[in-house]
Amino acid sequence: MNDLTAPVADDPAEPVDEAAALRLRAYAGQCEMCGAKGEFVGTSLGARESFPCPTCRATLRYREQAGAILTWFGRGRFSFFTRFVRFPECQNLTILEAAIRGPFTRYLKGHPGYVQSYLFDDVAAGDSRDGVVCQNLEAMTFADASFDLVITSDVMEHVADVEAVVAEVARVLKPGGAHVFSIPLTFPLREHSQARARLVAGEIEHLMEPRYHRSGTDTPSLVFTDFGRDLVDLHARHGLRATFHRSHPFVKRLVHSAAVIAVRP
Amino acid sequence: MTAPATTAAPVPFDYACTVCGQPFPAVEFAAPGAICGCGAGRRTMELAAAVLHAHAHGIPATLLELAEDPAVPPPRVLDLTLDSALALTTPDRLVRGDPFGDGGPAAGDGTDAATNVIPVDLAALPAGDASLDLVLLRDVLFWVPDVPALFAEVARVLAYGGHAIFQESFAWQFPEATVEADPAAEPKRRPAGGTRKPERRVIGADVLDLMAAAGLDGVGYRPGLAVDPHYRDLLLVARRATRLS
Ligand SMILES: [Zn+2]
Ligand SMILES: [Zn+2]
Repeated sequence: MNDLTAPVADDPAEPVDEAAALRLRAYAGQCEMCGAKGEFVGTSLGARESFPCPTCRATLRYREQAGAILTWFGRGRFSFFTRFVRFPECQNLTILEAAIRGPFTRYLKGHPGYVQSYLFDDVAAGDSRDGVVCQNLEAMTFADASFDLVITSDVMEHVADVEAVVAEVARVLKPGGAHVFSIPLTFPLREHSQARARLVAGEIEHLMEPRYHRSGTDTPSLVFTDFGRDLVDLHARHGLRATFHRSHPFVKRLVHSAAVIAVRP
Repeated sequence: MTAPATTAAPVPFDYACTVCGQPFPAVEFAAPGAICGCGAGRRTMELAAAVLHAHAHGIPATLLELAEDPAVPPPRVLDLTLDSALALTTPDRLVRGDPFGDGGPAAGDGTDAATNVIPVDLAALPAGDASLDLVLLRDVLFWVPDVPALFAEVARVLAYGGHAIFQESFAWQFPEATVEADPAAEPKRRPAGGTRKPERRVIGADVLDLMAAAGLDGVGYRPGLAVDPHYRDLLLVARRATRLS
């Protein structure tokens, strides 16, 4: 049965190198971010950082987040984010995004309920720099039930205390609100999330070979957690219902690519 | 003049069936009828994607994976779509019903739960209170006489945290507000479940408000959004709100 359900190489003799296998592979579709129709082509960066929109260049993981946001907040009425942004369904939301760049920062600029945050080393929590408020996601200064939508993109795997962040996100979300986030995921999903590193008395202790991603300020950022399907249980402990939102459930090889949406009932 | 540098042309992906996982050529996705060797057509695959999303947190990629996943309890299902997908993959605890007839006998001889289809009155679903995890419906909202009554009945039979999935088709865009047909005019008739039902309304997003009034939290889910802009289906996924303690 697994032979049928696992992502299958078109040529079984082909070596299974995910990034190489996706290069120059394509599908015809519509961009969930900007609505452009066209051919989405893989590069050698792997699925998530690849398949850029031919028009807005948003990569797969950002477009998947847009698709999850449209599902939860769009009432079935919007097929792409930049259209959704102009309507009351979006304009009436209060939105926190923990990012200083990326497509959502661009398209939500000027939105009346949009707050951008980042953890600056040299700005006090709650103070702002260039319109971006300094926040530690493990202990935010926002009031309870402040936001309808929280967006983080490849942030959750870098926080030292993910349980604290989920608790904080649950606290600042309004009832009916949702945290839409991207994280690296490999399928089949591991049963249990795995700590790659942890903080002990303020010092980083590596439990596995350290892995770094590039941060929003281009500094290396340590990966603390490889997430598994117990992400659902982690959120349930804080009253959130988490779902892996697949944007391409029919496209072989992209079937497993997903954003996560965690909803506060 | 120099010749342009040769660049390799991108190769299109195959698609894969959300019922069984088997690949098929992408161009076939728009075809009517069965696409996959398992018998699933496009509407079946979209429905399957919605079931996986709603009932199983999006963890399994196919209904087969769902059926074989020991961590996901098999759903108690009332399937009113006349689609056999769930009969193939999750026959346990499945009741299939035909809501399109006029009270006459439906298909099946009553001996096999997976293939037997019982006639169903949408005003009185054949299930006890809070007894089901999934209720699946297709092409009912445009003709059913009383939409709020249907939502109330669906809410009655759903367990807390259970889901109803309404698969509805559209000519173009999902409108903001429902438009009721003129009751005095001769009704347009649209296909539904092998019959032609009178079009009493073209539904809009305000049906989600009617769901909310019945205790169902609804979203509009389009599993084919990123791959097929010319969607014809919207899946209204309604979750029975958790009982407040
Ligand atoms: Zn785009
Ligand atoms: Zn199939």
